[in-house]
Amino acid sequence: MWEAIKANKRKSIVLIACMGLLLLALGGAIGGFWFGTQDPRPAVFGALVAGAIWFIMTLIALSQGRNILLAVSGAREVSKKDAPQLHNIVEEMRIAASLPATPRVFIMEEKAPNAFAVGSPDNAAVAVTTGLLSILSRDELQGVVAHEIGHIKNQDSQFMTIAGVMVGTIVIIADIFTRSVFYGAMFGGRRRSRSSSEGGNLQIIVFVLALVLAILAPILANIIYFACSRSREYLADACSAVFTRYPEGLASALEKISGARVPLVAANRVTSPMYIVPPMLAASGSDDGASGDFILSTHPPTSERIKILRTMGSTVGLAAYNQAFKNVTGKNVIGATSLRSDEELRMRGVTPEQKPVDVKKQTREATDILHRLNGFLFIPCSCGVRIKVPPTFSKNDLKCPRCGTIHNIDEVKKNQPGG
Amino acid sequence: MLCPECRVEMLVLEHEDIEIDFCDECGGIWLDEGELELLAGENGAPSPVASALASNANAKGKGRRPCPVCSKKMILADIDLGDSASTENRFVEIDKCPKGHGMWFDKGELGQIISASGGGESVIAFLGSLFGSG
Amino acid sequence: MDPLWIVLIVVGVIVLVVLFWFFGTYNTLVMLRNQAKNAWAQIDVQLKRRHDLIPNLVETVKGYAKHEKGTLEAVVEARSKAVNASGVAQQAAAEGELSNALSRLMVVVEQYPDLKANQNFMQVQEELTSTENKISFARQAYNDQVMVYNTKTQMVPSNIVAGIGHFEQMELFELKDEEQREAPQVKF
Repeated sequence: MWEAIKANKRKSIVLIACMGLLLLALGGAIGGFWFGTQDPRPAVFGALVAGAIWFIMTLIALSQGRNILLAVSGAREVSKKDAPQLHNIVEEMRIAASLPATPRVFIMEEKAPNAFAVGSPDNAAVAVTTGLLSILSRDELQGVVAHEIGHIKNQDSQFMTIAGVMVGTIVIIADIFTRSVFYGAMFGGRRRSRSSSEGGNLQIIVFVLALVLAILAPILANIIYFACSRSREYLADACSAVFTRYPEGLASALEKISGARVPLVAANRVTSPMYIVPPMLAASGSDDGASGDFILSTHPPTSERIKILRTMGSTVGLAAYNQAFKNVTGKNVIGATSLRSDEELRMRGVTPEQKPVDVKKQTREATDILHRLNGFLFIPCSCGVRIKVPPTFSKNDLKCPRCGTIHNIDEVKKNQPGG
Repeated sequence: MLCPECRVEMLVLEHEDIEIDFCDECGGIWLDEGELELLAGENGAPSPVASALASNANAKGKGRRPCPVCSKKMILADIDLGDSASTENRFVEIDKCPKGHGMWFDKGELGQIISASGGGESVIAFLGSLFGSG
Repeated sequence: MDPLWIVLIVVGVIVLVVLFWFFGTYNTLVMLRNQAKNAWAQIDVQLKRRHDLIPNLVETVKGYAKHEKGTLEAVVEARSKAVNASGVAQQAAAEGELSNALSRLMVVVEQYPDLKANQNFMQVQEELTSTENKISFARQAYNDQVMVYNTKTQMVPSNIVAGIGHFEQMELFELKDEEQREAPQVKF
């Protein structure tokens, strides 16, 4: 199936190259606009400057992007000891995807259920919210983690960073240019007079080209960017089905996540494409993206993603996903050349009984992970109350507010290994 | 979380899978919005305590305590415990976050809530089973 | 130019292309074989992990379920068989038996609520559940890799390179029947 990744990579390189050409053309046209077209040097210079800006920004984004994104989203790393089940699920999917290293595991204290992944296959991180841990069953959580591992395996985080920075550079350069033209026209200080007599026609063409590019390039770049983002979401869904051999897990998880209309506090426009469902849409309470400006959306409509996963039937390979995609939308999603030899991937034996999720209990387990991270001491009182003591608690004896039993803090600490 | 009254870190108490924050100094409790939701969650009956948090209609003005979540000054509000409560206990004044992050009961208010029978009110029943008759 | 030279150049180019193709295919086969071997190593790691967890599990269960001696002994016996197994097919059979013995034990455990609430037991249980999952996912990854590798060694023209380079078919890690296949996915 990794042929699909290769095909994807080739497609990505073509798209990045298209965007790069757009960027260089914009830079060149601007150079020509301001410094004349008698010789090609200003145009080349403009293109070089635009390329250099993009290059530097990409270097910064790739070296620091992961840490910045994790910091912005308020994610905190958890150890295997603090969150054994989550770690186990990540490790299971790491094995299923044959990643060279296990991603680090992060938790965000957020009621909104969501998840994202960043990094490269040998150095990645998966982050989930406490809200996600509260409402999903183990199978559903596995489906979501598999989707994120799919992103890591397909190197989506890096690609979207490179593409995103390129879109950003194009937007900024076009913006600065149109502003400078606007103010230049307003205050009359046009440098054009110098060259108005010579090379008239070419000059006019370059002017028009520069203005048209400045207006169109940001829009085009955005459309390319969002189309890439969406096709990568589909591919990550397909990977989730292949890794877990159980598309229903992700399907019902997506259903639950899109059903929860809680805004994700730490999300913003920049981090939005990373999440498993777009956090901004969930927040605005609008439909799941099926309506509105689909072209400018990072994720396909969630209802469609669920429908495709549920149409897959009992074969779960990429070919089966592509077939299901075709049945739902009438198009192909994965390059046809990459679909060989995975016809016989069967859905796994399903867990016999599915217990309904105990949201209360799972909420406690999720918040307890955070309490442990924050260094709380857990005292189970004989009356049934669990007392969670913050590390700043200064007294030595603690009276249970319910039954009045006195607990000695030092003694409890002594009896808890590693506490 | 810091106690809005004493400014010290509160204890967290877990009972029947619900968490509340309890101040060991003054005996007041903080009920978080999420926990109220979990409490009301399954039976679905509109609880007067939980609905008091959702609307600001019964607000009686600004209090002096800050919300432990967002630090905004909390507002004072009356909770109507209904006909089944005795007349002098029918209305309880509590502090609640204007943004709906949760509500604060000081020790006296807590006692008043628990002594009201409340007619199957999930929040009162919970607080009663946690702090009542102890 | 002398026609002999043209012929020589054409032949030389063809030989070069064939050589490039040969080495390229050879390297691909080596890479695929190594990937499959790595995947096998993963299964091995997880199987060992399961073997290590079982004594702990048996000890914990013993304290609560004294009447289940037969079931516990079956697990211990299946474990020692699995530890001593060698070769893909034999290992697969022994591990399948161990999975069955474990799932029988887990059915029995259902009757002991005290045991199920025990903190230590819950930890071992999560570890065991996850290890079972990891085994089946590792097996899945291994079989996928082997399938790709085997296909490559059989298909024309890469089978020529496989024949010359002695790339032999690899065995799939298959459990005997459907029942066993599903056993590792049992959630406790």
